[in-house]
Amino acid sequence: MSSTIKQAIEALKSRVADAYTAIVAKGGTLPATQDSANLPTAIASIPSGSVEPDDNDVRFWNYQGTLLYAYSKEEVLANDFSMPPYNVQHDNLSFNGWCYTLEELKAYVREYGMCDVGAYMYTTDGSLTVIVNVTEEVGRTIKPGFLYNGYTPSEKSNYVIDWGDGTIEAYADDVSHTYATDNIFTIKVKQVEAQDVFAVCMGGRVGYAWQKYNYAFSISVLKIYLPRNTFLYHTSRAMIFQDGRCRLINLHEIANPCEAVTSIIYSKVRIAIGLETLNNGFFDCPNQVRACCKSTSSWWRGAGIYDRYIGSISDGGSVGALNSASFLRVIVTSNYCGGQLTNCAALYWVEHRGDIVNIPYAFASYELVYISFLNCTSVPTLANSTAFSKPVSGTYGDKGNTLKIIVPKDLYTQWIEATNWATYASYIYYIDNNGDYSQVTP
Amino acid sequence: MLVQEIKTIEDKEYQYTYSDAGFFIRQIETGHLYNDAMDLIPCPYSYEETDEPIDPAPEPPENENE
Repeated sequence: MSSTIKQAIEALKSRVADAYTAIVAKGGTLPATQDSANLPTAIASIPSGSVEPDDNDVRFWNYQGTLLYAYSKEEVLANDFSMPPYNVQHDNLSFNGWCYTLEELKAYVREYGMCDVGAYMYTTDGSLTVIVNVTEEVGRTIKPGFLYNGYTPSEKSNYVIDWGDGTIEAYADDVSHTYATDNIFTIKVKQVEAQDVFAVCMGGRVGYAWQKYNYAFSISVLKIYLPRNTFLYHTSRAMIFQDGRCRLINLHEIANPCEAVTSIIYSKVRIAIGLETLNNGFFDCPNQVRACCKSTSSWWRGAGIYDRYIGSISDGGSVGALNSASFLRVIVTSNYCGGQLTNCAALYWVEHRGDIVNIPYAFASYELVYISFLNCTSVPTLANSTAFSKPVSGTYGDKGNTLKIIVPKDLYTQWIEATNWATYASYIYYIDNNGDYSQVTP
Repeated sequence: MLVQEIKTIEDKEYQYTYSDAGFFIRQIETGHLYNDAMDLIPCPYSYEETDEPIDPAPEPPENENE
């Protein structure tokens, strides 16, 4: 029974926070204390006739995918524009700024005419917070492998673990805990002395024998809230997030998140706007990746991630089946090009940071507006004479954008004469000494 | 069989080379393989047909993450 009451209280807190988010979106005034008692006053502060923000050029989202503000391109580029406020108090989460600075936002809007901006939310107390539902049926023993052994900056001796039932102890390898009762518990892992990076390893499983790096968070985990600068690491082909019950809030980096997560119910997983890097990940787990981008279904629309770049793709990694209905921007750090980006229907912006030597696949199915090869030391072989669609038409073309292929200045002349590149000469640019795109022969 | 045609694109003429049997073609001077090749005229390269069929649906790279 106590479990039910606790669940109800937790749910109520979330609903109150959601209500205050809606009030912000409608232009209302927030009270200093955002509890249920102050809700009526806050609702009354919503201006008469207020409506949801229009779907405009520049949109600001909270981490749950609620549209908070929307502006036209002209409004954002005006001299007096400033980033809008957002101070909703979510349970154990604090607003830590927008994912673009004002300068970045203006530069982006100037270039692309649109932008989605998301809110960074981190745990208020700097902890890794994991909310678990412990039942005798599944098992009351938890053996989490929260910390990544191989990440030097975060020494395990610097961490303590609060099991949420009054037990607090120093973190150690193979640390485990057995709960006395069924209940929802909030586990917090904290750093004794704050370090730059919070290293999290997805190991351990509730109710089952210790399986390092396997079954990291199974059905018993309800939510995971992450602190700033979390480094979330996983090394094996194990089943993290096995049943899709987890909510990952504001990840900054997922390294090797493993591939066998196809069982995820993606409508229940949120990887919000903080995600800037996907290292070598999500191969063979299209549900997970779609969760970042899919704007249909009950997914939370990615809260800006579908406009931010999805991440960097390193050697051996791939991002496939990113059938986003919105914009998709990808940085490819690999020296391999092309195959990682299969079925990315909304791909429009690709930055290659590797030394690409061969492009075996075509980009013709994408409405690219930007693709760069600035770290190439030679002109890559382009296997297809029709590798790119030109001129760009449709959504992005309507906004006045056309394809730009950005190449190193010292390769420009050679590039525009190369096999299969020559017909794209009018779309190939280098960056001149002023930082502008140029087609003047260097 | 290797096929070579002259194509005009945006008022410029190019040499278009491809295999009518669906095989990769090899640029002899560089050794690079192409599905097809579009070159400025005069084309500084020569081509030959390979016996390697063009895969229309390439598999994504193997995940080396272990």
